[in-house]
Amino acid sequence: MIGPVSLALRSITHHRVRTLLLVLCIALVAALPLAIQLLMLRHESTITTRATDTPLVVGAPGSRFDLLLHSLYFRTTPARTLSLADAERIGEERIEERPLATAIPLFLDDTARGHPLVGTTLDYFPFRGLQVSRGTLPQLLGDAVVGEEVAESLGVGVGDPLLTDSGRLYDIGSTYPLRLRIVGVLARSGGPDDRAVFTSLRTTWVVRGLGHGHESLDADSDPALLLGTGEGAVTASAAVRTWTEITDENRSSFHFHGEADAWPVSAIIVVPRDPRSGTILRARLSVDPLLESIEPREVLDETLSIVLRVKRFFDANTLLVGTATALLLILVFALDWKVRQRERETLLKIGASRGWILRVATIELLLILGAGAFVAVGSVILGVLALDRTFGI
Amino acid sequence: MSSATPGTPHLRGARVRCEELGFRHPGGDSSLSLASVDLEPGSRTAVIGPSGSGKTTLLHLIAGILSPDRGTVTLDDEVISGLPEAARRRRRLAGIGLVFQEFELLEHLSVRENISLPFAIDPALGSEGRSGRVEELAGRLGLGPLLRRHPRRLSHGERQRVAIARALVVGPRLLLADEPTGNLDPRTGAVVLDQLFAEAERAGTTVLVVTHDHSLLARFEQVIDLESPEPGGGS
Repeated sequence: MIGPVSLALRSITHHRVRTLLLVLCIALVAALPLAIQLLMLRHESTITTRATDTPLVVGAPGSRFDLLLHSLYFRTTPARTLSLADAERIGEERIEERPLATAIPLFLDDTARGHPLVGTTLDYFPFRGLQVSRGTLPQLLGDAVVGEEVAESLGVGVGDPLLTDSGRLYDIGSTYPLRLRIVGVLARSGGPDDRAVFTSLRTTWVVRGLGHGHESLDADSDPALLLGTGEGAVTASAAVRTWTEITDENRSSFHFHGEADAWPVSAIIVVPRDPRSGTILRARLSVDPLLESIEPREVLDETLSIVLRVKRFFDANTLLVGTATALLLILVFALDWKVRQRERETLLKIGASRGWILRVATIELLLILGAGAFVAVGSVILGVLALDRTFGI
Repeated sequence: MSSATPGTPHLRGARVRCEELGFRHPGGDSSLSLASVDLEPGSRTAVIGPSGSGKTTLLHLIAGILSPDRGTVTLDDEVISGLPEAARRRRRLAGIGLVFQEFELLEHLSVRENISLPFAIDPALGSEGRSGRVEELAGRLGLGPLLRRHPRRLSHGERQRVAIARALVVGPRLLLADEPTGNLDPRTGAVVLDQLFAEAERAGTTVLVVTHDHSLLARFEQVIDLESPEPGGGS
């Protein structure tokens, strides 16, 4: 026996084209603001969590927003750098013989196959709660550990080589790319670390050309590469190597020139021991004109407030479009109600109450709205997943 | 108003009595004024008259769809014209079958679903095994193989038989038909009317049929002519 729900369903399936158009209309109107809201919520949460978990960041004076994007999300490169000495000095700040904070230096100026190459210390990994799912953390010069998404997208794993990118194609004095050795893959964290390559600070300095090793060209080398030998000098072809590699054999030959204190770091993540230490350290850093210290959450909130203002304009636009579509839907339903007046009159004549007829019509409306909402939610989820996979946002 | 011999009283059919009925459509010119009409249980009565004479209005007044401006409609011993709309509706659903000239089937429902529509409106009507009447009625009216079809795939004659089955499925005591053969060719109309009468006779249902077709009048026991200057229902 059929009931009001079956009757409503029969009507919906009978008028297929009308139903499909209505469902698509509703889905389109609902999907866009829903997708934006969902993306905002997801990324606001991801972004703010990372910022909240990073109490203090120090960089060279300049743009606070650049420093935030650089140190937390590995985007942009600051115009100026600090030195390793600055990081060491902050790490040595004390009160009553007790260190105030741990300083985690970062140097990020190059990429490896399109992914940011982040030089840092081993303190970074426990600070971010990062663990290797395979292999180990970088221990030696030339070792690298990659984020899960890097491993997936490049199809690389432990033991594979990874070449850094030639950033200065027209600089004939620049160094060759460095062939890194992947020693570990990080477990997925759901943040920018998944899309980065981590190595030691010294390795990134080698990439930058601040440190180098020496290749030996002797009787064992390819004779075609040896252009000539003279008194204490060997002339070799530029085709000797198109990249540098740090191996067990040549590792000892790698060395750095200049003062170690002057080697660059692009940002320093400062992790105070406790809130009091944080307050003292902030006060000390604020009077140093050569340092810019930011509280990431504060800078992020400023940025988000701008984004939210833009979103309000968008919301207003969506509201207008939504209202127009809702009015259109009301018109369609009203016309449908009018067209089916005879059907309702028949039901009334047979003995149906107005309430029963209204119930069937309401169920029909709710089913269409529900189907529209289902399509909207489904397409939003699929869309967000696709965005995640395609753009990693 | 002419009259015919009343039919044999049936225990199953309803006795209908209309007295001093008057009705004017709001804002309309057409009106109905009738001294009295008596329908014996199980009888077959035809209503004739020109357009606008109030034939359909009379049916609607008896069915309780409309409420008269004056006068009364009595179904058995109950004056239904004085009942509230909800009560008239309940009596109509359970005890009065309606057949329309335009069939008035729901296009999105199958033949089976159209016939069992009264059970969908009031599931209580489908209890006591009455829902089994759908197949039984459909079989007798030649609709058995068509139960899964939709009205748009039926001929006019088949559609009207579906409408008759829908009107009879709850076992009404009164069947009101508004020009049931008006949209059918004479041969199909005759077949459909035969089936309508046969089903009504089987259940002892009282039948009131509005018709323009004077050739059918011989098949009725009583004729109410609304053109007649003489007021009152013939018998």
